[in-house]
Amino acid sequence: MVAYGNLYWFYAVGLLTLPAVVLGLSGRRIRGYGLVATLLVAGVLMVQHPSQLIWLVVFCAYQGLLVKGWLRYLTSHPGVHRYLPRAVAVAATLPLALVKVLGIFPSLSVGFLGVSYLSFKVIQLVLEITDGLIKEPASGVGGGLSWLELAYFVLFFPTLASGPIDRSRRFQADADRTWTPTEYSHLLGRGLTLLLQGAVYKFVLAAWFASQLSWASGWPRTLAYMYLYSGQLFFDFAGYSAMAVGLSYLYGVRTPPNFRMPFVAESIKDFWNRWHISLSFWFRDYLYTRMTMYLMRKKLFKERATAGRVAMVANMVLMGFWHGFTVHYVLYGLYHGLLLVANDVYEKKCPLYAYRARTWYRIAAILVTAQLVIVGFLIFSGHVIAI
Amino acid sequence: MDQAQEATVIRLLTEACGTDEVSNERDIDLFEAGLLDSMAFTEVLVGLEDELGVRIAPTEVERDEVATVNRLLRFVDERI
Repeated sequence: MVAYGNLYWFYAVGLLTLPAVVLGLSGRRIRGYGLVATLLVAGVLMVQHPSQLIWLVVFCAYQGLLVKGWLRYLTSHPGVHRYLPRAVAVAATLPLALVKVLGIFPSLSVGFLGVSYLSFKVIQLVLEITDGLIKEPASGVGGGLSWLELAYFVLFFPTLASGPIDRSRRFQADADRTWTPTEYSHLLGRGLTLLLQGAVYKFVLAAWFASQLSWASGWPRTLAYMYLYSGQLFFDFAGYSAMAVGLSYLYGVRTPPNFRMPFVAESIKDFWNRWHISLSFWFRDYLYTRMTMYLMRKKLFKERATAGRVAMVANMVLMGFWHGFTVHYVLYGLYHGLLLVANDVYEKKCPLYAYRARTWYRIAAILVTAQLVIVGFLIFSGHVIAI
Repeated sequence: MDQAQEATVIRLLTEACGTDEVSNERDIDLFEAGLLDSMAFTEVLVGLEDELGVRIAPTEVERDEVATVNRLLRFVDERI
């Protein structure tokens, strides 16, 4: 069974989801059943590779203790802490870093399905606990973050394999809700539409683009490859994401979307608000903004803008490393980091930018942005830099 | 919030957006208008912390909640 990969998955998950739909349509809370379904699917997906199941259990125990422990510690020791928050953030990132670094040596694999996406969720929990945005309830009864709530958020099976990466406070508000039958029927309609759209994207359109890739090899066919690969990459991942969001809706959880017509972006900045949104916003909120604030506070650079630009490049290079420790992924990150800086300089210095609301400008901007983005995907594909 | 504090918020926004359109158009969505982006928004957060002592965590507010001059003023007012 492969998540969203074969018919078996759709039959099994379809059957499994029927009770959730019945609960939803009869106006009852789906959370309890959703958690059971989540644990079941996570177990079934991983049990095919027992070592993955073991690593998943170790990961959950470690991160669970870290999150719960940190929350309890900050509740009993309020005030300003200098180094502890950083140490806890590093501890939460450690499993992902280990998986990524050891991933260079295939024999040392400690990874499991979805380790990146689960880690992103845990890291955001830890940072929001540090910021005081997630608190232990004053009364100690209900609310807060119980083990079950933590497990449901982190492991939520529709988004287990590859996101989208939800936010804990948003997720929990949806999960805790009891939708009225009318509200739920809207969610159901939306969910089914997204499932269908995603299936067409992934199994029809992405498959078509992929089938065309084989003949498009060698120079100058690299040019054709670049466009076909971009099409495949988009429809495959946007298709998966739409299905993941659609399935979430069936469980009453409005997982945020991952794509918003990325090829009509009017600038590189705009592109990152439209492409793999949940990942780029995660990097923006939990890495970029924090790094920029740190650099600005320390006044390491004369101008605030310089600090922002340095953080931009570092942010994108790290995103490249996250994709994998290979030359083409890191170059892809660097390429986008430098494009973002160029974008920023352009907006601040170039008089042409004043025409940004005109139709001719917007059309030209969309065309230029799309080409820059597609060249980026060629770098990303590893097709030209074979290492 | 007194007038000096309000002026500070508006100056921070003007500097970050790079235009004084900001002080006249108090209800336009600055993100949608292309005046405010992640970097400029971060500059505003650091500025608020430096000059008014208002510390806002990066994910504490949804951008919608502080996307216009008036909404940001209201938000900062509650925190002073």
